[in-house]
Amino acid sequence: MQAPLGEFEVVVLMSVLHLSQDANGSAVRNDIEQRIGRKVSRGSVYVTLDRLEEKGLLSSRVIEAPTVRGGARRLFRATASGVRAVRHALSTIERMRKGLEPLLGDR
Amino acid sequence: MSDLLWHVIAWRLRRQLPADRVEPVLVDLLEDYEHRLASSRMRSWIWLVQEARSLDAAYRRDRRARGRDWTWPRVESVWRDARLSARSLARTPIVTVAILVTLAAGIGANTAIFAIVNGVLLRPLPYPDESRVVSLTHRSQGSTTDIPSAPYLYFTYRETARSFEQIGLWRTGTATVTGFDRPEEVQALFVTHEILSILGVPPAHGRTFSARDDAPTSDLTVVLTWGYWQRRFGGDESVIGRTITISGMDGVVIGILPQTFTFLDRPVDVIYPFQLDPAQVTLGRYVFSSLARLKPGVTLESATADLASLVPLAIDRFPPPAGYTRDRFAARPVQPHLTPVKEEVIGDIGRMLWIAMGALGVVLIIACANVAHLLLVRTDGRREEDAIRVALGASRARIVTSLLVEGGMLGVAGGLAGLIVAYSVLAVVLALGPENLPRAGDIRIDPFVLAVALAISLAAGAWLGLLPLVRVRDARLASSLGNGRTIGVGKDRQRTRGTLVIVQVALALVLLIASGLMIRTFQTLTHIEPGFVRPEEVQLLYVAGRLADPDLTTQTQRNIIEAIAAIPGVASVSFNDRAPLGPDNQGSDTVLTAEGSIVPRVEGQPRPLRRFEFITPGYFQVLGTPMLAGRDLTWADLDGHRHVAIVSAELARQEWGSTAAAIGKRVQVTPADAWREVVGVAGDVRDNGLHEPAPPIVYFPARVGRFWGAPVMTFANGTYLVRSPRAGTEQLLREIDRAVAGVNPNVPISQTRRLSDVYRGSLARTSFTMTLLLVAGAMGLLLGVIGIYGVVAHGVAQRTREIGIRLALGAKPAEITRLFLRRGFALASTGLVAGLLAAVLLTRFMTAVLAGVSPLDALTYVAVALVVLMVATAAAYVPARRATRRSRTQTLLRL
Repeated sequence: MQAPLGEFEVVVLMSVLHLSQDANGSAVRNDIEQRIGRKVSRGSVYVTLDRLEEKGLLSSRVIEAPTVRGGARRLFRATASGVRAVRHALSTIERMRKGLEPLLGDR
Repeated sequence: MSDLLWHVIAWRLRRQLPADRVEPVLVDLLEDYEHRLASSRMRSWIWLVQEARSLDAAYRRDRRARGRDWTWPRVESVWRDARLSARSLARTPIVTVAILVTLAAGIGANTAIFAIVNGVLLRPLPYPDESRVVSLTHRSQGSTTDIPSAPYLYFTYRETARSFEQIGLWRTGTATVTGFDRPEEVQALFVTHEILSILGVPPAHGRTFSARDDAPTSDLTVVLTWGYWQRRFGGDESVIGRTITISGMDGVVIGILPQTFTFLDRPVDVIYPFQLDPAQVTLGRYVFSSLARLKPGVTLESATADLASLVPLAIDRFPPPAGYTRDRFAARPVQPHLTPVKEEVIGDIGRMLWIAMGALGVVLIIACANVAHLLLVRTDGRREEDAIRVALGASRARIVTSLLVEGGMLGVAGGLAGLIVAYSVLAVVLALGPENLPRAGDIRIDPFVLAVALAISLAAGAWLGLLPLVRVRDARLASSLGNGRTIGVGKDRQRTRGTLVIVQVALALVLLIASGLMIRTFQTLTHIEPGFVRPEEVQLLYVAGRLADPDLTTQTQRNIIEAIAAIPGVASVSFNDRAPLGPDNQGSDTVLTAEGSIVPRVEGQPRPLRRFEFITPGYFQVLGTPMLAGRDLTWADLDGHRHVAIVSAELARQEWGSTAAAIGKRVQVTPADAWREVVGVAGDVRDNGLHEPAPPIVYFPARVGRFWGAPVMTFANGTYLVRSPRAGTEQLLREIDRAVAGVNPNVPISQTRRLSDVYRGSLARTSFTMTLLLVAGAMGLLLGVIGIYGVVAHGVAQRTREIGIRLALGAKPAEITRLFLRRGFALASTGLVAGLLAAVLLTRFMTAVLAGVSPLDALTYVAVALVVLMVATAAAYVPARRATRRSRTQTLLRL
C-alpha cells in the first residue's frame, strides 16, 4: 500500500470529490476556505493538486474555455484509487477516534 | 496599470512554475483577479502580488523537496561542504599529502612547459601587426636549400612588387667603435632604410632611417639600441647628433631604439645603412637576408607569385658580374620563398617543444589517475556516508555539489602548490636550457599562463571530484548501508581501478620508449666523428683584422699567429674565416668548376654548392683533422698568392671518386679566375652541425690572387684557433689579448669560447629533449608503479577475511601470493601491450628530432618493455607477499 496521505492532501481530495465535475484550482481553494472557514494559500493548493495527480489519486484534463482570456483551464477529478484513499484515511481516523469520546467530546 | 502588472506577474510565474503546468494556473489567477477588479475592491494589486508569491514559494519548496532541478547551491552550504571536506581530508594526512604532492608535480610541470610554449611559440613577436612581416629567401630550381636575397632582386622588387608595403635587406656582423679608450667590438646590424619601418617600432629618441640616409652619397647615419646606449653612453640623450667612428667611418647618431626592441632575437648594438649604389649592382651576390611587410589582405601565395614574375625582369635589368653571362642566370632563375618572420626566429625548436608539452600532459594524466585511485580508496567510506545522506533526503544534486567542492579544493590547492613547482622548474630550465632556445627573454609566467594553470587545476579537481559518482549513480543503497565488509568485491569497482592502472602503465611505457629513442639519438650524435680532436683544448676568438692594404693584412695576420704561438703552453695557432660548427655557417656557398670531375654535367642542371673556407697554414694541425693526401698550405703559398687549394675528403669523393684522385686536379671559381691546383685532401669536418653529413669543402689560402675577378683578396676577419691545454682560462685569454695588441692595438678580440662549448651547443637541443622526456618517463613509471602497488594492496586489504579463511582451510601461502601476483601481472602486461601499440603509433611524430635510430627501433622497445614488466611485477609482488603474513594472524584474531 502507499504511504499515508497528509492531512491537507485528504482535505484537497475531499474538496475535489465535493466539486465533482468543475474542480479547477481556484474552485478547490474557494470550496475549502468556505467549508473549513480558514484562509488557505493558493500555492499550497496547486502544488498539492499536482502531487496528488502524480500519485495517481487524481486525474486532470485541459479544456478550452473561450470565455476566459488565455483560454485553457485544467480540471481535476478523483480516480478510483483517490476515492479509496479518502475512505481509507477517514476510516483510520475513525478507528483511532473510538474510545476517545470522553476526552474529545461529541462535537 | 493593472495590465502591466499582470504581464510582469505572468512573466515571473512562467519562469518559476513547471512549463507543463503553468498556463492553466495563470488562467485561474487571471480570472480571479478580474473578478476582484470588477467588484472594485480596493488594492487588488496587493492581492495579486500576494497570490503570486504564494504560488512562487510553494512551487519552489516543492521543487527543492523533490531535488528535481539543480539550483545554485547557497553560499553557506558550499562553505559548509568545504569545511567538512577539509576536516575529512585532514583526518587522512598521508593520503592527502600524497594527493597534493602528485597534483602539484603534474600541474606545476605542465604550467612550466606551457609558459615556455607560450613565450616561444604562441606569443607574437613585439612588432605591430607582426603576422604581415615575412622573411624572404630564394631557392634555386629543384633545391630546397634557402639562399639569401641579392641586391639586384631587392631593387627590382622594391620598385615593381605590388604585394608589399615595403621590402628591405639586412645583415648582421660586427663593427669596431673607436674614439674611446679601447676599440670596442660591437654587434652591428646593416640594413636598407626600410628595415626598421618594416618592423614598425618607433624610436624612443630621435628618428630612424629615411631613403636619403641610404643613398651612397649621403653621410653615414647610425641608430643605437637601448642596451648599447645605456652601456656606452650612460643613457645620455645628447648623444643624438654626435659623431662616432664606426669601422673607420664617421657616422652621426640620429636615433635610439626603445628598450623593448629586439631584432629577431639577435643581439644588436648599432645599426647603419648599407648605402647600396644601384649603379654598381650586378646579378648574383646572394648574401643579404631580407624582410618585407605584406599589404593587408595579401596571402603568401599571391605575394610569392608576384615576386616570381619579377625575377626575369630583374635578370634583364642588371648586368651580369665579370666573367659570367646573363644567360647563366636566365637559364636557372631563382624562386622566391616567403616565411612568416616568427618561424624564422623560432626555427625548428617548435616541434621539440610540442613533444615536450605532449609528454608532460601525459604525465599529468598519469598523476590524475593516481590521485583518482587514492581518492577511490576513500570512497568506500564515502559510499556509506552518501547512502545515509540520500536516505535522509539529500538530493543527488547536493551530493554532486559536495563532491565537486572537495575535488575543486584539492585541485586548487594542488594548483597553488604547483605554481611553486612551476617557478622552480622554469628557473632551472632557463639556467640550463640550450643556448639556442629562442626568445628566452619572453618566457615567464604571465596572466595568460596563470589562467591556463587555474583552468587545469579546476578541470583536474572537477574530474577527481566527480569520479566517485561513476558508481554512486547505481549504488545499491541497501547493500552499502548493510555490512561494509563483503565477502567478494564489487566487480565494477575493481574494473575501474584496473583500467586506471593499465592506462598509467601504457602511458609510462610510451614516455620511456620516446626517451629511450632520444638517448640513442644522443649517443649516435656523440659518437659521430666531428672531424676534430679534444675540442676542450681549442680556444676560439673572433678578430676583425682586415686592413686596407692586403700585404699589411697578411703580414699582420702572420705576426698575430706567431705572437700567440709564442705564448707558453700554446701548441699551435691558425685562422679560418668561418668557425667550425659556428652559427654563421648557413652562409652562401658557391659553385665550383672541377677539372676532370666524374660528376656528369647536364645542361641546365644547377651545379652543386660547395663550401668555401679561407685558412692559414696549420689549420688542420690545430683541429687535429688528418691530412689524407698531399700537403698542408705554407706561408709561401699565401705570400706569393699561389694558385693552390685543399679539398675535404667528401668533396674529393664527390668530384673525383676518391681522395687519391684529387691530388693534382684543378678547380676554378669563376671563368675569369685562375685555375687552382689541389695540393692536399683533409679529413671531413661536420661544419654544418652533427645532424648533417659532412659537407664538401674547399679550403683556399687566406690570401688569394685572381679570385672572384679581383687581383688580390685577403681574408682576415674571422676566427683564430689556438690549441693549448690552458684553453678557456682567464690567464690565457689575457696573454692572447696582450700578444694581439702587441702586433696591432686597434684590433679588438671578441666571441672568445672553446670549441668544446660550440660542440656541446650543437648537441644541446637533443640533450634538452632527451632530458625532458627521460624525466617525464621516469615520473610516469614511478606513478604507474605506485598505481600497481596501490591496486594490489587495496585488493589484499579488501579480501583479508577471505584470505584468512582460505589459509585456515589449508591453502598454501605461495598459492595466495600467486593469486594476487597474477592480478598485478595481468594489469601490467595489458598496460604493456596497450603501451607498445600506442608507442608504435605515436613515435613516428618524432622522426624529425631522431638521428641514427628509427622510431620503431626494436632494441629500445624490447629493453623498455622488459624494464617496465620487471618493475611492475615487483610492485605487485611486495603486497602480494605481505598478504599471507598479515592475513593469518588477523583472521585468527577476528574469528
